[in-house]
Amino acid sequence: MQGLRLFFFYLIFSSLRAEAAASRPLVYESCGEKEEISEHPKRAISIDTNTTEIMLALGLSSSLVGIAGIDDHSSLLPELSKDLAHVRLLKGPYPNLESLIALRPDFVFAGWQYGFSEGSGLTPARLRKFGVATYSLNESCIRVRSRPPIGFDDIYTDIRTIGRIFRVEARAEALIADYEKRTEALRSKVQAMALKSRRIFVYDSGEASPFTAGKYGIPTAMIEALGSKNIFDDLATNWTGVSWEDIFRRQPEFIIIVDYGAKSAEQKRAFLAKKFKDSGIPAIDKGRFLVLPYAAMTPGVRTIESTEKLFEALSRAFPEHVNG
Amino acid sequence: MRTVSFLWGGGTLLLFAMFILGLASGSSDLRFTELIDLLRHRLGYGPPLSEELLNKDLILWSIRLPRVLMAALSGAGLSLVGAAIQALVRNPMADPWLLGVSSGASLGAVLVLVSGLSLFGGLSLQIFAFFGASLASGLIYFFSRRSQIFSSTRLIFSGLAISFCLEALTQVVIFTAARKGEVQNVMFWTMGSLGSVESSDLLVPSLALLAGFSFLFRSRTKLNIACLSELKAFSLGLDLQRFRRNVFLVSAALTAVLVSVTGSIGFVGLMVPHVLRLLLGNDYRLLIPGCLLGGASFMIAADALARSFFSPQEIPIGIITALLGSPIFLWLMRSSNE
Amino acid sequence: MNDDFALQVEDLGVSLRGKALLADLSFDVRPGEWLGIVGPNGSGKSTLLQALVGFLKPKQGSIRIEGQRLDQLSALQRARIMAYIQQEASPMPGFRVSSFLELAFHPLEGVYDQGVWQEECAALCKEFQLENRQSSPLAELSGGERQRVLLVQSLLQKPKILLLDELTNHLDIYFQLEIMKKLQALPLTKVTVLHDLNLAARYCDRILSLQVGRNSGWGKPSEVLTEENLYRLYGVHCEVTRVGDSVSQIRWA
Repeated sequence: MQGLRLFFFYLIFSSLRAEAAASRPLVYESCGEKEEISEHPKRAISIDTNTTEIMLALGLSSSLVGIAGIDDHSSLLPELSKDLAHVRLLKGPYPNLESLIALRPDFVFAGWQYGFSEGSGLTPARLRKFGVATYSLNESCIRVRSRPPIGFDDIYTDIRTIGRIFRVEARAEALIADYEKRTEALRSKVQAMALKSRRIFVYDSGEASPFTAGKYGIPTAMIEALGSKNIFDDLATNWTGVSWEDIFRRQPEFIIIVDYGAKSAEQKRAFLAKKFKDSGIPAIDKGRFLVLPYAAMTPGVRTIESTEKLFEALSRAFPEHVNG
Repeated sequence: MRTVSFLWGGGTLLLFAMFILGLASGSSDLRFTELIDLLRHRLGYGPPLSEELLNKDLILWSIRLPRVLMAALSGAGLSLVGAAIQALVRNPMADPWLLGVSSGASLGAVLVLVSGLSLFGGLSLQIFAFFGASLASGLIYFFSRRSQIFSSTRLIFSGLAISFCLEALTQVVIFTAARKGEVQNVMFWTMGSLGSVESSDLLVPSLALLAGFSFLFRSRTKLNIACLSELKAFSLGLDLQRFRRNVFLVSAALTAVLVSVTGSIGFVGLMVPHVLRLLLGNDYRLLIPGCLLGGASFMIAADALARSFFSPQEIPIGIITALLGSPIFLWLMRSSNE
Repeated sequence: MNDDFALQVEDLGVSLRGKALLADLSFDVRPGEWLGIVGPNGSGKSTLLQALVGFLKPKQGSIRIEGQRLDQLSALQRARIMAYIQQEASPMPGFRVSSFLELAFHPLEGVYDQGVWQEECAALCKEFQLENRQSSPLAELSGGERQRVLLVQSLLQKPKILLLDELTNHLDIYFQLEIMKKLQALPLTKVTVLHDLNLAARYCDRILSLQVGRNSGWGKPSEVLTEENLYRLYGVHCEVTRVGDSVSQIRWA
């Protein structure tokens, strides 16, 4: 009796194993949810600049059928946006479900508030019902669940997972190795110069109240990699609105202006200078600003380069350390 | 009455036309002939579909159809509730918003969105919205009564006070929440959206609309009487106290169900009944069927615009209902001689 | 129980929020009789009418209509016996005459043939010269037309008792007389609140005069509308001219 039962189990198990081996399903995690796909996607859509650039940097332009959430190819890095003639561009902020499904995708790479949103109905759960797999940017998971502090590892995980999903692991590892090497180099430079911790404010936009990066935004990881401090690293979110009074109270010594939207970086800078004229805020008194484009302040292939630029800017802004 | 059958006939035709329009419009092109092909295919006729048409088939039945149906349900439901509330408080400017349902549902939904709570799995948003809506209208009902007497003036004032209070609370939750990134979701919720509607969302609203409509349709004469003074209504044999309570409860429940699926879509409940009143006169025997068919048609048209105007993006449908509704409303008001 | 009375009021007292509005009122009305209620402002005339229709609950005493206790009848049962008319302006725009008139069928639903009722409706509208106003909004009617619509509506309710609260106020004398004549021709029991004492004297079978919620005279016009009683009520002297048993004119001094 016992033997018979075991035999049945063996039969069932072996058949399952055989099936599994045939399709070799890939299991990955997206914002804590287990996702499973049977083969690597061939009709992918990426939403927003940074996700698109990750796809392109991994050489996956032939797997893309659509790019959404950007206005035109010029917002992408020029070296990455060469062969995109076959890719449909869905212009404007974020698309709706129908316009995505019309491209018959099998995979969507986006993030919460990078295209996915409960209210608009474009969510991974909904897409799954149409047989579309998804991967959400690690940084964006804070919108749907709690998570450990932000770091460059989040970007590496994104790149590594996309690499696995599209079977381009080697390219992914090469990219990551390069980023790790450059990050290490930055760290030793910071140590060598004994670059002091500086209070840095990330100004995204907003005149009634400023919009900035909090504890879980990738800018915090960039700033901390250089041993400095995001003045709003106590806000448990990635991007959020704060008050002008807080900025006065926290006395930033350096300001990063995110360049996008209706106001130009120069206008944003002039606005801040006027707003805090004679306020004694060091960053404004000394004119210590760095302008970085939107895509450079989101997790992706520009993050390390932006961190390098930030390092340059900091060492120029605080020259005593270059020699010290 | 000839007018009634004419209204039913004309309204049904309009609704059918809007239904087809709703199915045909959207961000991906669907030509009318393709629509016919797909319909025929669904019914078992016609040739097998090409790969492109298969995709359109999927979009049509899985995305557009549930949306169009939900638009019809919520347009009809909100208009009916608006008409009923207007009789309840004897004021043509009354709106389902006075029931506190929209603000209550928003608060419930926002609490779920910002806390990331998921007690009931994927349904937690709807369930909390429904709880919030019921709580709000319960409070308003409580404050509208004094020594067992339900007063319409009290309803208006307690409705205003509690709705404002709950909306303020919603803002407090948004501003103090740790996960502020949900603000955009919340915005979409408070402005109303049909974007997240799936076919599985349709059952409860359909049943609620059916129940609400049959109650109001049976009460159509009583609703007319309720527009008169309390004393007159009483002498016509209508126990206004009990009738008002029932209308309140039915309206609140129906709105709560609708709002929990779509968020609060403004203006429809105020405008559709009043436009119909200007066209048909204040006769609930005409207004009730009129709101059912006219409200549904209006909302399908508004949603079709919300989907196709800025395609592939969507604008919150509340913006369209206001943009589309206000001019019609003002024009009718001016050309009417009252 | 006495079926001989259309309306019997015994020892009626009505209070609102602890304030006594009516007290110790007793009177009765025989079928077909027309009772006029007179009295100065605030004497409780309208309150009495609202108590008679059952809208205000008595604090003490009882009201019987057709021999049955009013508080034991349902709203519908009451509406089949009594119709009440007051100055009514619909707060809702667009209420049309035909829709408004048809509300009178509500208490009759299921107990009266709708086809017959519709014919009666048409006939009454014709009689009251409203047949061309069917689709007009109430708000567009002239004062006289509106009063006629109100009267027709309450007649369509097929009542045995008609309660009227100041129906002739604000009307030209022509319409006042017209309404009063129509009412007089109706074979119904009527209870009306009247301001114009001359109209009351001319048309009512009996008069009840109220003073701060109490009975200050009940009987034939000639018994109630006396110089002394009117001075007590209104604080104004007057001269009452009588022809035989009836009052023909009241002239204020």
